[in-house]
Amino acid sequence: MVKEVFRHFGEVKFQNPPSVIIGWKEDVGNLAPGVIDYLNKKLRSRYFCQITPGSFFPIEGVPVRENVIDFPESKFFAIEEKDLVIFKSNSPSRNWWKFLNALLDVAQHYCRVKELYTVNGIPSPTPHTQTRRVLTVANHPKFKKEIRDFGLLGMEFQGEPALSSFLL
Amino acid sequence: MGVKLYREPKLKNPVLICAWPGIGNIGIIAVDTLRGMLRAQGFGEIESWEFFYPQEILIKDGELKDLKFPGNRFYFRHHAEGDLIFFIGEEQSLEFGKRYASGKKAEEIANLILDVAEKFGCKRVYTSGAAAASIHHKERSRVAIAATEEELVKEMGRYGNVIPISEREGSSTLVGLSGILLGLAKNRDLEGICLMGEIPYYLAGSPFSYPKASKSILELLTEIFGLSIDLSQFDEMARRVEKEITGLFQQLQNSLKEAPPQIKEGLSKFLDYVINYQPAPESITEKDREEIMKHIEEFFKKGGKDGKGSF
Repeated sequence: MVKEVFRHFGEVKFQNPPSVIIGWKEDVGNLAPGVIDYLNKKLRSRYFCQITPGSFFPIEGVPVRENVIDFPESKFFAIEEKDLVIFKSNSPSRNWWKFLNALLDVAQHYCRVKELYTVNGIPSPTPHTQTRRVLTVANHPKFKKEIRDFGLLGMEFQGEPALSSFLL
Repeated sequence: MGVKLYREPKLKNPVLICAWPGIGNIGIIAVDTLRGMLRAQGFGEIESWEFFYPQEILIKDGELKDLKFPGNRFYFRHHAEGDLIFFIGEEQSLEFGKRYASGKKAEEIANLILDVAEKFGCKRVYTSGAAAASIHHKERSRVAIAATEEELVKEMGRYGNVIPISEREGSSTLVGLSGILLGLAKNRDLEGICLMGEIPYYLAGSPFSYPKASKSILELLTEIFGLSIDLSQFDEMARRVEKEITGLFQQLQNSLKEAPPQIKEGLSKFLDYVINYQPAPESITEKDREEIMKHIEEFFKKGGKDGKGSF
């Protein structure tokens, strides 16, 4: 991966190989940004790296909403004492393969992560008053067993892949 | 490739102020004038050949002597309330046929500017430009504001003659390097504010410089940084440009005499507005209001002392 895709702002050191939690800013019910922002705030994460936008987003005019500029961001945050990395990003509008590999390069080669989790919302035929379930998809039978041990449910789906599925 | 620094000045809490050519050259005239008046010193440049096409070639006696590229220079000025870094780009288009910078090259050049800003400890960046607005060229231009955070918009709202951009239009787009630089600054957790001088819609595509809006940006910058600078030269420039604009539209009105009636009807109302409009007296700003209240209070105090003029 070419160096110009990343921009580092500082070193990170973990006690053990960390986990990564990934959330896209455009998500059903705004679920992922809600979870990610909450974790970042509660755990007082430190912003340490970004994937630069030029190869993945159109850099034309910059939209302004309610006087505040809205620019694509792809940021890595670290909580070193918890061995945790958080990645928050807009979904890239092009070069998905290159973008996801950039993400994995930072995770695998820079942070030496052991596992990654993506967080997404999913429409479901359930009343809004019902307790929400958490459905899971793993990319390996071993992980499937691990997450089932937490009492989480598996899911069935066939259709257009989302960015998170592509990453997994 | 990249940045060439001639020297590395020691700067205290600097802010970066950037400008490029654009609509009415409003931003660049304001910022470059401030740079000149403060006698800011050059300390570096972006190596332009990576980004721009040459502007001028000098051949003497069959020998190529020089190839000039648009300048992209950094300047600094020490200032009691925090030092100032200026970046002046003489051109912003990076591709043929495009008026504004966009794409990967624009991102690269903006990142180089921010690298320099961060190297010297900048935490805040100002960019400047124009905002096409429903105003008349005889009216005072306000400064429209967009920023990287809501708090900064509120902070700017404390100054006179400033308007948040959403008060003019619900959503908008910042084109060119002024927007891209702020977007990238936001990604680096730097504060960023864009100052846009208002220009009438009917002049936004014209080749005129628009000093009235440049002056409004300059007034704001001098207020922000607590600078005392004589801006009267802009009044003369503004009067001259105002006269030229009115004259141009008068010429157009005269030429309409020969035009087919449907064109004449369509344009005459607009031309009548542009040529004959008389602006209402300027409404008072918050600062003016404070001054007036102060005078009124003094008047009453004085009246109370000598017994005259009191109620």
